[in-house]
Amino acid sequence: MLRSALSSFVSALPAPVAEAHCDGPCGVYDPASARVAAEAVLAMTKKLKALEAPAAGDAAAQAAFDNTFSRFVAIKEDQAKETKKELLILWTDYFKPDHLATFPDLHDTFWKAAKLCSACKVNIDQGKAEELMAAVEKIHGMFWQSKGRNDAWVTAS
Amino acid sequence: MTPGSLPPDLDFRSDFEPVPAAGLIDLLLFFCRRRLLLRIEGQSMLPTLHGGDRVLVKPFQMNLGQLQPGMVVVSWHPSKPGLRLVKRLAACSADGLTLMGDNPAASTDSRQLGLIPASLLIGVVVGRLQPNPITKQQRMSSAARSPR
Repeated sequence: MLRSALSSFVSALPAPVAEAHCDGPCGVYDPASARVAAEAVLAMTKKLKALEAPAAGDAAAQAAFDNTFSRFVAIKEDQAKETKKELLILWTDYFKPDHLATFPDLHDTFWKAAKLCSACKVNIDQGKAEELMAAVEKIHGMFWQSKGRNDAWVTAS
Repeated sequence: MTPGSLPPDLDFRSDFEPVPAAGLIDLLLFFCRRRLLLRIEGQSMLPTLHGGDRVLVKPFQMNLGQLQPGMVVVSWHPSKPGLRLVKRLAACSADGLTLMGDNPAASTDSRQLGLIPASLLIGVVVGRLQPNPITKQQRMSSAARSPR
């Protein structure tokens, strides 16, 4: 009784804010998340290309192959979508009109990078996946230059 | 450690410990200025904490022994002065704290911010205040946000 009365009283008092925050209000961006997803796209593309089909007539091996192949495709498509989502966050939320003065090709770079995400999602194309990594690296450079920093391009794989 | 060098998917348990209702002792300690009262904003701690929830926080005394992974903690943002973060402590090492939101899809945390130095820690959330019935009703209906 005392506890609930005190609790109601205290909960009516003014209180400073603790943010259970997210990018929106705090403005924290990092192209690393796009890079990780793009690396996963490239890795899954390579793995798909390296998969060997089983001998004809081996039903169990065929089932295992189909399963692995489908999973690799699913991850590749998922990560390609993730890359595109992360790039769009940088493009539409982080970069501001003033950045266009420094990076006149900003829109073109992001547009082409987003198109590459789609190409990597639809196809098993290592060339496109490598182009996507190059595009993300370029965006990494622009991003950190815009912050007056020169962070190294480091990949996980 | 720089942001981005942490693994993108920390293996984090999904059975989040709820924050208990504030106990009598913590309520009394609040009146002795030994507990902080803070209001939650944002959605990164859903379903554990909702925007508008009020919590009591036990100030951190620079004693890492009192910290355990799984605790909900409040710290200063490493690069935004004056911004307090509420997150769950996922790991604790000599280099700093790994903080994660319970709702990772709507959270900026150690995945982006890297390790948070223990010196930025404000305290540990010890209890959630039970909203009085009127406040609760207001919360239920988002339209009823009457100016005071």
